[in-house]
Amino acid sequence: MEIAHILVALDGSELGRRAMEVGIDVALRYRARATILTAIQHPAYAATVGEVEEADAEQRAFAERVQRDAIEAARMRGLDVAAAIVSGHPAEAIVDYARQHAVDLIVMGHRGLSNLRRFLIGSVTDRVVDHAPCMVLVVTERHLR
Amino acid sequence: MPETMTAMIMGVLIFLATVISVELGISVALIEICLGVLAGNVLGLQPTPWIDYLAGFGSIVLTFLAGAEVDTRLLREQFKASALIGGLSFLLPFLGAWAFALWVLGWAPDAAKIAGVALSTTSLAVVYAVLVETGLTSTPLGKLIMASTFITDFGTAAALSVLFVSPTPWIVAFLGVSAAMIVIMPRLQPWFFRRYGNRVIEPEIKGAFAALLTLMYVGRLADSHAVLPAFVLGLAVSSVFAAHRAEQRRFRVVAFAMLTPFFFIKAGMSVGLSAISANLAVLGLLLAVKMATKFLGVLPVARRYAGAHAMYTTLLMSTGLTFGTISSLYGLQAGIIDRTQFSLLVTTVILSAVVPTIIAQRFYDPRRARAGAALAASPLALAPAEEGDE
Repeated sequence: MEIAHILVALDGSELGRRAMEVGIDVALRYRARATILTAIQHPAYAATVGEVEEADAEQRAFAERVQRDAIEAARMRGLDVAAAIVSGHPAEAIVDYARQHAVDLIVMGHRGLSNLRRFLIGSVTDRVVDHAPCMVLVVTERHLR
Repeated sequence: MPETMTAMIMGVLIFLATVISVELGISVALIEICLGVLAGNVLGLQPTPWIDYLAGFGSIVLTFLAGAEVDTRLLREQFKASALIGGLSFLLPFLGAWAFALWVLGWAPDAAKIAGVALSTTSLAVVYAVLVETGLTSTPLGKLIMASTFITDFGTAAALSVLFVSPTPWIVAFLGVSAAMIVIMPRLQPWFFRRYGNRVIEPEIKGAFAALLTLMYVGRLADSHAVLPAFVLGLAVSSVFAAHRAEQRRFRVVAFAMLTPFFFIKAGMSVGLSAISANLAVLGLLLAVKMATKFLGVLPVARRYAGAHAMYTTLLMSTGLTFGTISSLYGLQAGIIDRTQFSLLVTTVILSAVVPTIIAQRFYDPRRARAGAALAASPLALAPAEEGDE
């Protein structure tokens, strides 16, 4: 099994941070290059341009902060990582990026959703697992304990 | 119901809409309309005069913001193509929906005009959100679609202000006050911002609100609607706003926190679910008329200017939300349309925000066509445009 390119999906959560640690471990072990990806989503069917612009600016600033910390954590362990911020639904963005950049392994966190949230918005991880063109390593809440 | 209780329910609804919007990733305006429908049809909440007034002011603030969000440089760059696409995107749906409401549905002439205006709109915000999401805002295609939307918005605003004017002496005052504000405010603002700006007491926002409230008052005296001068005033100060992003952001904060929620919730409260369920066929026909006339108007010229992305352009130009809702609510409050007609128009407008967007993104997303041969046939590349690129 060859793992040359690892994609770590970061969303700013504790599980995402843990997924980053796992991603660094795997990248170092397989001498793979790593990319961190954060998806930003805009409000659908907005009524004003301002709503979209402000949401974009806020989420972009948040994503940059999260990625800065992740890049620093990787560097402290001797790994240089690339970073990308993409627009769109997180699951679609992660799968599209993996397809377009020959990713061999996606590492991401998965928090348990309530039945209502799962019904309303579904799970990003479930969708990525269903549609990813490569292996997916899922870090769950159990790994935090 | 006591007014304090109405105020409390409105406050809770506005708060809930924000939380739900963040959780679901759907615009707060759409959630506010839905909660308004719930409040009006299930909780029995009825609009009060103060809600009506705040909603009316919210609609003028939304219109002003829409004008202020116009990129005038972009409009100049793309003027010829966007004037054609945007002009036809307004004109054909306006005439088509007007004629359909008048002759097929048998609505009164003025009610049919409201239908024409409400269904002629294109939502700049819906279009912009899709373009940002697909990374197309800085491409020639994205710029063309946005510039065309500005033109359609202008057509809608002009129609709403002009079509219902009564020939009274107040018209002269309305025109004079509007013109004076549009000429003076952009010239005064840079000095005003320097002298009074950046204070927690917000003189800039209060100045803009005073101007808009004045337009509303004089417009009312003239039996007209301040939507056109508010839009043009926004357009006139757009460069000032572009140079003062912090002030623009604070204006948005105040508008989204305190004013626009009343407009969207009131619009939702005025929708009768029973009126919609009893007229589902009419609802479907109104949506079909809007889409068909948008296609008739936009698709032929979009083929010329957007090539392989003509269908995508046409679908995005078929979206509507804010101006459609503003026009419908104006018609209801002025007694031009009844609650059933309002319910049908607003529901059609909401559907037109959702249906064309989904079709465009699912079947005609230019990113998916990027690798295809179709792209080669397009006069518009998808690479970001250079400064001043047409």
